[in-house]
Amino acid sequence: MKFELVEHTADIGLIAYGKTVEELFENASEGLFSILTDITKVRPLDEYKLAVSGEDLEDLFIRWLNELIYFWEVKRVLASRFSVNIDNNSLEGLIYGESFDHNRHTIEHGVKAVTYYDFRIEYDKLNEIWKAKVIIDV
Amino acid sequence: MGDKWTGLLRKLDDFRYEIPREYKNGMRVPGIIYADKEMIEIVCQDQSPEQVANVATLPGIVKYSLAMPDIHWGYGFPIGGVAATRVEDGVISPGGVGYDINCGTRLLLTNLTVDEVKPKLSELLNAIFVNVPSGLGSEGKLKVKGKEFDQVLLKGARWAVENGYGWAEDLERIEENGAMEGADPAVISAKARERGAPQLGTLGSGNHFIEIQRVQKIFDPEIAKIFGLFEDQVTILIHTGSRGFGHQVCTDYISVMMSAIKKYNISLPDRQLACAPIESSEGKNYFSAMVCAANYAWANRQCITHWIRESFEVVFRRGAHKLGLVVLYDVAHNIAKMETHNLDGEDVRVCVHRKGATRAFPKDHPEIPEVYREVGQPVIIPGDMGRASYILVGTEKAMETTFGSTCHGAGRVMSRAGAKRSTTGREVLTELAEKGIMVKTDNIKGLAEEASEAYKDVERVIEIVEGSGISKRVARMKPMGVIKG
Repeated sequence: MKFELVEHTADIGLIAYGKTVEELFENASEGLFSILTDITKVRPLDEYKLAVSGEDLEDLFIRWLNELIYFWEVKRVLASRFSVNIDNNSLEGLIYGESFDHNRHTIEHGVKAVTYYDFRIEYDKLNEIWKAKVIIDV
Repeated sequence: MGDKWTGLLRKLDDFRYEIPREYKNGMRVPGIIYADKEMIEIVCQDQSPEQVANVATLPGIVKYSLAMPDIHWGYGFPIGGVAATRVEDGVISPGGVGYDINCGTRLLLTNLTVDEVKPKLSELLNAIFVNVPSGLGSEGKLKVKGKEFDQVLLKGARWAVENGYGWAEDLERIEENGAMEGADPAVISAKARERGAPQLGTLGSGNHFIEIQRVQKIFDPEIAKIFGLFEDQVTILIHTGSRGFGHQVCTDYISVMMSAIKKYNISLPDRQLACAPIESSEGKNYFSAMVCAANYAWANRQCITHWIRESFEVVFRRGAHKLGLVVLYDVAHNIAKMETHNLDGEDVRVCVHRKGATRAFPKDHPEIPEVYREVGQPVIIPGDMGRASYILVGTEKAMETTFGSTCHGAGRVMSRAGAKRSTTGREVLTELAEKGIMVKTDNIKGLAEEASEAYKDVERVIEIVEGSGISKRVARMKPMGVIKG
């Protein structure tokens, strides 16, 4: 499983998984955009480059997802494919998507921000998988 | 949903429960939840009482960490949380305001009755839906950039009035006259500007709405008269905030506060409570940025007011003045304010965080409009789409016990996914139609998330705030038509 959405009274919880830290970030990105819209309808036509850095891995994770929210609202581009490189708490990401089109895309939730509440990134040694849980304010 | 909360709780009286200081390490004051026997059961269904206890650990918090009866599970602060911190040695927390800075409500009056509006309701909703950009992915029709955008942040609703959106007298009936002092555009990031500029003058989505209502019941005829309310009158309720601008300001400053808690060595049970001393540069900058966002929200509701007036003018072929389309009041429910409150006989400057809570000042308070000073501040409480909204009035008891605060709405009980499992947008539409309520939206699916059963019954919330004396019922309005973003 790449990600799952869990319930929270006023907001939405996102749990992402990944075999590597990079995959964790990519799957979380997909999860975030799937809260916004039906990403099966978003064609990965255009490529965009984004970079963020953080104080540690957790900080980087929140900053990256918040960067994606900002990117969507300002560029009005929906993305469905992600490829990230992480080195020393800095991230360079390529995201693939297309401009929002009223006729083809439905926005299901406005996403305000990713919060730090109940947030953690864990590595499950037994199953060799990274897991992150965040609450997203919608 | 979250697990049931099973912490330590003591009944104080019929309307208040206390979480004693000994419940959790680090609590500086007790927590108090405004609830009755039935409501406290609902409140303890999730972890919101734990969040009340967490807030009680903030440095400089005075008296108690409060929760209004519409409390529900948030992040950092609970929604419905009120906390006052001493300006002298306390902290300010962006999490105590939330992402939608100065999310709030404004009520417009008309001199029209239900019978006059009913035949034109559909036409009216269509006109407003066209005139007020709403919904997900919508952009505003204002083009405000650069220095002009700074003017919005500094002047708030006054900027809108100066640019032809509304009347000068509107400003007298807005909390802070629609422009809070202390804004500094220099502390606003480029990102916040980029997100904010295109969204000025938009309703947004989620729980934001414009509702055409009828005054169904007057509880206090004398105060209602001063507020300009009468039975069967048509009113308009606007519920929106600072849009992506406020969201980005909060995001930016939570990040600043993450560093600040290390710098000032503040230990917190939840990182979302990240904060800084009020008098520190981080604290001051956040406050200035928050004021910018609060002013943006007041400009936003002011522009929307103007377009609603234009819509009425077109539909009723009469001027807005003739239609009596005046502002009753406009009040914030996500904000931090520097206020003076009496603590054990001494006047103290405190920063009152109201996150999902409304200011409810009593009569004679200098900060409320002169026209209302002999009765108290109007408080506007939106319910859900299918039930009712309320106009309350602030009381002396609120000043004494809740830092002049009361509830802000009904409060969610069901998650969005839960609501979608129990009903569909189409069903909600049909149910509302059966009650005679029309809905305009371009997101029918999303209606399910805002279904009545997703919220507590507003009547129960109002009974508790009135029973505990922190505000008093003046009028109840029932929805006629709703525009949902």
